Amino acid sequence: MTDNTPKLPKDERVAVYICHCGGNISDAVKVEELEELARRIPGVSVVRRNTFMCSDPGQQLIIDDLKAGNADRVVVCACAPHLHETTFRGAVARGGLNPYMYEHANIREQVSWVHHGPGATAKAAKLVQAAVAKAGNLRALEPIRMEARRHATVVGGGIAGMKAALDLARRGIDVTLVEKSPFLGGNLARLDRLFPTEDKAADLLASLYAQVTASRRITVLTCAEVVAHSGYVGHFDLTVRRAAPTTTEDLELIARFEKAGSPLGTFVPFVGFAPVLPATAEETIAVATGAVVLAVGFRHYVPRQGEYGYGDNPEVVTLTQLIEALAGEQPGGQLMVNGRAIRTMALIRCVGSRHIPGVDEEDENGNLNQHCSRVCCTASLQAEREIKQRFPETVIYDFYRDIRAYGRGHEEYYCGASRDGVLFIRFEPTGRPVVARSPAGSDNPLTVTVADKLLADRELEVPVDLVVLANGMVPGDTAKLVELTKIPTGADRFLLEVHPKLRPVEVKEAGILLAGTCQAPMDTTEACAAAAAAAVKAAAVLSRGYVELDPFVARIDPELCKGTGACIEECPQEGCMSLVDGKATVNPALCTGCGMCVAVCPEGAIEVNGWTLRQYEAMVDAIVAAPVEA
Amino acid sequence: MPDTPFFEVNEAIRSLGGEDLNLCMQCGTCSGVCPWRNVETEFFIRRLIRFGQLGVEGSESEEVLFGCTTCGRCVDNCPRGVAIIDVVKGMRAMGAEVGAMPATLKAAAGSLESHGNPWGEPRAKRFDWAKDLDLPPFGPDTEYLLSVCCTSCYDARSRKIARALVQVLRAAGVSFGVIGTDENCCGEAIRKTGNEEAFGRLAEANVSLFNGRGVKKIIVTSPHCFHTYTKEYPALGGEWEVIHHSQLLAQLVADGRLKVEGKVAAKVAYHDPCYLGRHSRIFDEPRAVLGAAGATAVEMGRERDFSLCCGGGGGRVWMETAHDQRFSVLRVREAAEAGAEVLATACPYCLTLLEDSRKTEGFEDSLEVLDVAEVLARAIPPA
Repeated sequence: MTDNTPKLPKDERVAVYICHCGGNISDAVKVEELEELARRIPGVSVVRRNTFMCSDPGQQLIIDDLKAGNADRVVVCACAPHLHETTFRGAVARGGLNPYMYEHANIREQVSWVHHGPGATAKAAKLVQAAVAKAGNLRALEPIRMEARRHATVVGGGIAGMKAALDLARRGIDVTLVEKSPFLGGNLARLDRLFPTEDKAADLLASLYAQVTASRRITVLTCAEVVAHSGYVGHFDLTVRRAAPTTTEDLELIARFEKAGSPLGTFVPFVGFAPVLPATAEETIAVATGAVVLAVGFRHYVPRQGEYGYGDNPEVVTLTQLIEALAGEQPGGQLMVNGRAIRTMALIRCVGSRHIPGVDEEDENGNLNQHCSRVCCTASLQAEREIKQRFPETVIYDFYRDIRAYGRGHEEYYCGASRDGVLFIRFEPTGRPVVARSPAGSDNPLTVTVADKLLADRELEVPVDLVVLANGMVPGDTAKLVELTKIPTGADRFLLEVHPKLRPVEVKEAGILLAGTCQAPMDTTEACAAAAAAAVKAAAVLSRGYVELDPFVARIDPELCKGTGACIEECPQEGCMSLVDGKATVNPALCTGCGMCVAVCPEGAIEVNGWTLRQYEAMVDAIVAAPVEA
Repeated sequence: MPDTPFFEVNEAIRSLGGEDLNLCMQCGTCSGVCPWRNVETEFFIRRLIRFGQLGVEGSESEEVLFGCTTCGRCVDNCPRGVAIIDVVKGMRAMGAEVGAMPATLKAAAGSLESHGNPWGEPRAKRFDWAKDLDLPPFGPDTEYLLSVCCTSCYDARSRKIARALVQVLRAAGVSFGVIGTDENCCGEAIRKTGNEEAFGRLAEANVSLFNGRGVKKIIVTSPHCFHTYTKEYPALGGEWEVIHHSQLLAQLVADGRLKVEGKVAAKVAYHDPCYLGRHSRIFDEPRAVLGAAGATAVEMGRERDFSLCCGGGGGRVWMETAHDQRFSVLRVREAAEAGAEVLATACPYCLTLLEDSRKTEGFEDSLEVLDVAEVLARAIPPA
């Protein structure tokens, strides 16, 4: 296309590019007509069309025009800005112009996809007019560059926390690892072997623990909790409180640790590693950090008193308890649990998981666990296989709703348990098995009654010596953390990521990342993958030493500001606005550019970069002005 | 009254050959593909397995415990690869221990014990079918042993298969001999009824007989003998080169050793026997034999892997099946609907049942049921 546009007697020279989007736009908008109309808009110095402006040749048009001095600001009329605004800003920068001398007109989503006929072209023309008007009022801006501390804080010392800390340290980031209990190892320390590799949990943890404690970059704080949090990505200030443990769980672990009599830094089964003795006095530690990785883990579901006979009968245990019993001494080729010989046992699945509203009882807080805990299926199969292999005479009845052996190698556990002779009995959620004491004189202390779904609901009575409840995973105690960080939680009460696929370990607040089972039930493989992802995300931000933010933030004219404080009151971002020497000031790292301060300032002293009132006015004027004549 | 699972029964079934009993996850694919879905029945293979897993009552009736024809459709389709036929066998063996054996099967077992054949016929008459044929005895000078299925030794209709085969083998100059009355039933079907003991006796007798006579190559006339000789006897010391007659005939034609001068000008549908097709993967040779005879092939559906069982496997050839439950009735109707003039097959059990249903369904004048050897014999001038 030849450039025969007459130069207009104005300072600003706007280049307009019209994208056909391969017909997406040009099928509804008469792009030739639009081109002619654009040429007539005052201030426009060059107009070009291309089938795909986002393509390399499309972008090259912009670069060439800028380098030839044909324009000093750019408008691209194409798709929604969230798709390619960044692309075109990049082209503008490569053409040697400030990338913020750019404006975008959305003539696809807002025009060609929703309008047809002559109206489509007319509306496109209006949007182009408005964009050109704004472009004429653009000012060069610079991205806000904030110093980033090369330090991250990992909250939680389970496998995900240790893995994240180690991965960060290996990338040259200093790490403070904050663990609430006196021990590192988390829930994993309370397991034995891990599917599908049959690795010893203790071995995995020992390997990580040795590396974590050997790393000069990692500082471990046990008996410690984050109690205050402020700042922004690259620059968070945390307050960590270290105090003597008081929870029943911690005290039990300490008792076990003391009973074991092992030296510090060695693994105590079903407890973990104590790098130092438990704290005895309270202290407060300030941690200046750049990113926070949350790896606070999960809790095992504890059945209610009476749920499947739990708490009422010593012969009813959880899968977690069975795993511990299996890991302990088992002399004489006979499975023993709590001192009782087990010849016949039942395992009941989905205990504390996959609750159904209206069917299952809510807990004292009105919560149901509607989620699938994902790990108990294979963990149960694994325990069953181990029992059948070590004590082949044991008869195992497995009461299940569904078996979700979803992961690599998991189905092999299911087939293997079947082959080993485990007998599976399916029940419906509305017809759960009932566990009761057997009548006097019975050989087995408990009887499980259920209607067999696979035999036309025929009622089965299964006398057993032991009932194992495959208890699921529930969110850890994250209430304080959620209050502190404002991280959203899902309906399942686990911490919620921004997008499960595209931003799986991020939350809305930049610089805070999720690692492992605080986010959802995961097995160790998945928790470690999440931890590695979170570590990489954090390191990517911190290792440059600075973070760059868009400059679309509030700017205060100190000449006009009278220090009324109205903006501070209205600002929704805590710590973003403050009065310094009687004048309002903005912390650009915290400002989201929402513009609420602009609206409330009685002096009109505030503007948002890139969205100034003057720019808005110019756009509105262009829209209400007479259409450009063809 | 609720049932209490009886795990000892579960263990017993597994020890009696049904090792895969608990591997079944009860998905029900087996019941879905089972030929019994074509008729009204109490028999569901998944449910039978469930009774066995739990060791609870429900499988005692003849129709349930002995319903399975061992056709193998379910085995082919089982997502867990459960050896379902072995589970059935184990359950029947378990049933046999408590005396749950249909009278007809007891009679067959008794006859096998006393006569070496299941049909209650004297051993001495085993080779009456060939009285006038002057068949050479098997010896060092004969290449093949011709081992004829008990059914074709005694049943008047089935004998014609053996005679037609002899005619064709002679026309091609195949060197073969027979052992005669010392032979026993292969034991395939009685084993499927759970009677491992009877099978063991028959198999042992045959293996020592054949090995004693220096047998190297065997022509069998039944896919059931083929299955037993190739898959079950090797473990007992019987390792020979076994060939089903349809394979040998196809080979003779292909090699040019058999000159087919005539032509069977008929539309022929072929019914794949379960034990030749699904179990032994022999699909093409019988069709090649029919083609060599000049027959025009007609499709009647449910071919090859999808073949519909005739209903005679798993010991059911010896049992009475109600008319409205006979798969063979469905099969002859399918052949007739497809416009076939001949329904050909390659198994004495299939032939017996299809022949019977041809008559009961009124196709006596319009549809013939023939073995592939009989079809080929028609295209060859008598010697």
